[in-house]
Amino acid sequence: MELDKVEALLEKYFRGEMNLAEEKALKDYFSSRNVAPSLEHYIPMFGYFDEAKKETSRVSFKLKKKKNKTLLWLGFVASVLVLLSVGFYTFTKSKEGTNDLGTFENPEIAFKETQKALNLISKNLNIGIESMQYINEFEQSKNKIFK
Amino acid sequence: MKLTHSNYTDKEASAYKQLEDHDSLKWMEKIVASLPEQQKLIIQMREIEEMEFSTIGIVLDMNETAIRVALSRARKTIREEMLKTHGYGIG
Repeated sequence: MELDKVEALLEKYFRGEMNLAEEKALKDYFSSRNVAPSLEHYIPMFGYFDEAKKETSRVSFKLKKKKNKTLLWLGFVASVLVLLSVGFYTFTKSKEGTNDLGTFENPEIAFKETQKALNLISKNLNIGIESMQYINEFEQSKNKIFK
Repeated sequence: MKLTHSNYTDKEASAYKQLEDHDSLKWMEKIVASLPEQQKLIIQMREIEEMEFSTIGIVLDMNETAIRVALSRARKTIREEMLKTHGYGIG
């Protein structure tokens, strides 16, 4: 390329009026070996852009996925609903269980069953009282010593 | 017998020339880094990524004329700074 032509192109380049193809041609000229000596000081500038093109990022990164807010809310509401329904179900179930203890048709059998149950209670209570005797023993000995 | 080394010429540029090239690349890096943010981005996109003005316009939300003006300013700044260091050797 002739010097005056290159100079005109450079002028255009610095005015930012070139398209990509023209800029490419200019860059090719400055990366060639036959640059006019009067224009040599432009070589590093274009050389730098060529060098910078080789730079790549070695850090890989992932774009954070945007969470769907309505879906998040839906999930939240659904989980609360499930929790509530399970809670309500077990609550009513346990209430029913305490209320319904079974019933006897025949009063005599009912009486006998009640007696059996009361006997069981008193027997267990007596076992408890028996062990209380030891404490009485302690009390007596204590009274003997500390008058 | 005698060994002649006349045919072993170094095809690489001289060490001095290499050093000088490396030095001017460093200078360029400094000059580009000192540009205003917007001009820096435009230089990066136009000179290095070789993007069309219309694409840069979309990325930076600017019209093409404004980009051309900013690009022209950035290139001229680079030229001036480069000539300064080229002329005096110091910045």
